[in-house]
Amino acid sequence: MTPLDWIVLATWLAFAVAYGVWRGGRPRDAEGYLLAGKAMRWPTVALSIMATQASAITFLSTPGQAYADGMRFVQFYLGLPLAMIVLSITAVPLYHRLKVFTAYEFLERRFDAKTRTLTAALFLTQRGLAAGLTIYAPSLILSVILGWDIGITIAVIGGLVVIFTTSGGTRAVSRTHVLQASVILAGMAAVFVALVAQLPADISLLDAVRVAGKAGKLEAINTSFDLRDRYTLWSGLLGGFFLMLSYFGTDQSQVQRYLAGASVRESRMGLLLNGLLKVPMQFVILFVGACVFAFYQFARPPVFFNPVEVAKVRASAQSARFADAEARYAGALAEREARARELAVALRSTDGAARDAATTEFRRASATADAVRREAVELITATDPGANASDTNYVFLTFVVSRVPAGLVGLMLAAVFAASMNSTSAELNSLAATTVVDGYRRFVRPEASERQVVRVSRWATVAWGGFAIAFAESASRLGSLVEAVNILGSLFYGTILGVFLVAFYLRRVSGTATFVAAIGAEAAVIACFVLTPISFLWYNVVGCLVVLGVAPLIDLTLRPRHAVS
Amino acid sequence: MTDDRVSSPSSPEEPPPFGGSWQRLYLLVAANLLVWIAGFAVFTRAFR
Repeated sequence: MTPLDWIVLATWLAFAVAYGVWRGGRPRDAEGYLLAGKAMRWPTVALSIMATQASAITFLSTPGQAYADGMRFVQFYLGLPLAMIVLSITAVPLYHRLKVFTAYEFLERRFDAKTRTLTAALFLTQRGLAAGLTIYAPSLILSVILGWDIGITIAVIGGLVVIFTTSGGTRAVSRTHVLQASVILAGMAAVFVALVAQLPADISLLDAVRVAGKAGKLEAINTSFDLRDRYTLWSGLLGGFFLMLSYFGTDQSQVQRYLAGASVRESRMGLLLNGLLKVPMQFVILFVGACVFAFYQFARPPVFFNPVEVAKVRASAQSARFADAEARYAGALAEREARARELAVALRSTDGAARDAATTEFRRASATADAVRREAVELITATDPGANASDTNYVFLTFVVSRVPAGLVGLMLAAVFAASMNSTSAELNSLAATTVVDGYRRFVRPEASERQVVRVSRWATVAWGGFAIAFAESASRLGSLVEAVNILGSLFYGTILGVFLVAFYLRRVSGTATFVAAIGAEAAVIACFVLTPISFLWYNVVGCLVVLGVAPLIDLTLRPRHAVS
Repeated sequence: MTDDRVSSPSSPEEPPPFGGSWQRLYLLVAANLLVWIAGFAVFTRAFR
């Protein structure tokens, strides 16, 4: 990084925090602190919703995902617009009418305290750990690529978020989301322009994209019905629909964003705008990743994008074999580049035979290069059995720091920090709200004054921030736990959604029946996870449908006892 | 920067700021999704 990059990054961070503190104001009551005084207009609500979901990992890993696996990941989001419609019709008017602060508060009004407490506790557990990962994941990537100390990076990201989130509550979070979104968009656009500008003079963007297409990186839609295939049109539409319904309808980190809307209209519009923009936004991010792939067909990428693991193998007994693999990889890349140029020329023509022949030669050269790369990766994992054989998280940032002009690197890093702070601030804010509303004010001090609630909310934000930072600091020593936490969300979302859908639509079903059905649904989901190869998106469907199907049956069994009592 | 504050709360039946009715906006969001899926399918075929 150049001094100019440091100036851009430092200036942005200082400005973002100061802006958050200033625009957050000094709210004096619970509604002001936890729901921004319910005063947000729909553009702010929409941007806040989108910023909460799009963490730093979205901007670092998604392009890498397209680089390695193509654009089919876009199908993951296809259920989102439909979920936004359903939530606009159902949850939004209900939450507003009941004037709840948290989604779980609604469950006590509908069922009982134990159902509210169970779902709130599940949220706190899952989201508290996730907040740590939201800080840890980008810090790890930044530390690996830039050589920064990971502990300091975690402390800086976490500390800055805690400052403005504690100060201004939800209002600060929403206001900062709007500001941060602008730098994220600017950063991505700048990288894309830099990428196009650095293509060889004889290769246009269209040429490069066509080559990426022939490499299979532009397959955005897959209509296969294979349940083991993680991203298909059907898993995205159906599994993604249930996942998004649960995430946006029952996860307080999102519910709190649209509850800050001034009215049903503002909240609805925020969700619907998200439904309009999210899919194309993800497509654009993935397309940038596919373009990075296309760029590297005409330039030399490293054999492995994680420099820390490369350094380890170079310092090991495998160094000679790794050097040999690197040399052969360079030769294979030169061959692939020549074939890619021939393919680009052939694809401009209308000669089908020449296009087919050039495509075959390019794919053969790519397969050779990929085989050599696999050998190098095997040497890396042989040296360090704990090393992650996937380097997709490091592809995009490697491109940025090695190919993007000075100043723009700082802008892109500012965007990464902005995205991380966006998600983390929303998470801390929602964790504080749930702790205070569903814990402190429900069980500890029901008679607490507004001022006391605000004070405890601030302390809860600091405490959850401290927890998230501490978890992030120790995450590198908890590899298997980190993986477990990632899986945790998929395991519980379907069941929680089922509980909420029973609450919304099956009005005669009791809390106890729903509680028991939820436990059964969890058993079914865990059985799917342990015993079947079914892709995780389908767990959301299974958990939700089991609750919806079983809860009424249990209720019928219990009902005579209720009648007698 | 404009102030986000809205002077008075509105009812659930309040119409959207554009589009005429909520039903039309829901249709717009669903139709937009269908257009994107069709576009992705065309994009996939075009560059395959």
